[in-house]
Amino acid sequence: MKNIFWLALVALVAGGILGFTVLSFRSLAPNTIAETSWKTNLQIGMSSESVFQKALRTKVGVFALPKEEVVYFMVDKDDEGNSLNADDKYEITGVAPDTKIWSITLYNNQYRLVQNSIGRYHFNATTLQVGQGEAYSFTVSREKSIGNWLPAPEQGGFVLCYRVYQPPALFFPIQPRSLPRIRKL
Amino acid sequence: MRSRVILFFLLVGLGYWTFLYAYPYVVQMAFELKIGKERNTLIHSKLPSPSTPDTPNPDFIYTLVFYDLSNGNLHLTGKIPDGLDYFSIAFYQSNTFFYQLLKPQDFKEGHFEVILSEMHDTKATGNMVNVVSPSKTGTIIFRYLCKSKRDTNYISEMQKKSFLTLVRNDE
Repeated sequence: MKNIFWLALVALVAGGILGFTVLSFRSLAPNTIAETSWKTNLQIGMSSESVFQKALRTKVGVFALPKEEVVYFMVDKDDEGNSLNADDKYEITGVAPDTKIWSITLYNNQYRLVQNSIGRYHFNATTLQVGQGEAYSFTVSREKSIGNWLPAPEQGGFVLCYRVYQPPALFFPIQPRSLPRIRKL
Repeated sequence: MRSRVILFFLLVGLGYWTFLYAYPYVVQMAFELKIGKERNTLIHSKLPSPSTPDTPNPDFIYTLVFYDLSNGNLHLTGKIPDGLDYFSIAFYQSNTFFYQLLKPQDFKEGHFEVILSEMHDTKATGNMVNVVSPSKTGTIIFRYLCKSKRDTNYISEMQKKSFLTLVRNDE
C-alpha cells in the first residue's frame, strides 16, 4: 500500500514537471501564419480554446482580449526562420492595417519591455510615419540607427508583438501579406 | 506489475493536466502578490518610462481592480473619456480568463455605471450595466489608449473620476 502511495506521488509530480517543461519550451502562440514566422491565437475567450492553449496564453500574455477586439501576433524569428538576436540588425516593413489603432512592440525573451535610454518600446499608428500606400519601415538594432529605430536589448533574443485593434471583418482570414516582414540586414 | 505501469502513466497524465489547469490560477495569485495592493480598490498605472518599463503593453494606461465579491457587489462609476480613440473595461475570472468587455457604446450620457455581482442584480436599472461574474474573485482592467505623451494628463484626470464602492450584502 505504501509503495502504491509513493508510486502515485512520483507519477503526479512527474506529470507536473512534464507540464512545466512542455510549457517552458513552447513559446508564443499556437497557430503559425503560413509563409511567415508570425504566430497567433484566435481562440482567446472562446470555449474552443484548449487547456494547454489557455496555459500558454497565460504565460505569454495574461489578460488578453478576444479577436473581435484585438488580434495579437508574436514572432521570435525573421522571415528566413532564424531566431531574432540583439547582435543583429533587422528591417521591419509592412503596410498599415485598415484600422485606427495598431502597434508593434519589442519584448525581451521574458516578455518584458526592454529598458532603453530613449524610452521607446514600440511603434504605433501615431508614432510611426507611413509613406505612400500606407507603407512603413523601421529598424531594430542595439546600436542607434537613423530614421525609425526601435532599440533591441543589450544581449540575447527578443520577440515582436504586432497588435491590430478592432480589426475590420476583411482582416479575416488573415493573409500573410498583411503581416510585417522581418529582414536581417 | 502491468496494472501498476498503467496506473503510473495515468497519474502522470493527471499530473500534467492538473498543472496546466492550475497554472493560470497561480499566475493570477503571483500577479496580485507582485502588485501588492488590496482587493476592491482602483489601482492606476502610468506609462512606461526608462526607469520603470514594467508594463505589459505601452499602448495603454491601465486601471486595475482585483475584485472579491465575498462581502457584496461592486459598484463602478466614472466618466467615459471622449478624447481617446479607445477605452474599454474588461472582466476576467480568477484564472485570468476573459469573460466580458464593456465599451463606450454600452453606456449613455458620457459616463459608465456598472454593478458587478455573482448573480443578476435587480438593482441594476436604467443606464446601469450588470456584469455577472462566473467566479467570486477576478480582475477588472480599464484600458485607456495613450497614443502620445500628450494624452497622459487627460487619462490621469479620467482615472481620478472613476470610483468603486462595495455594496455590502446586508445593505
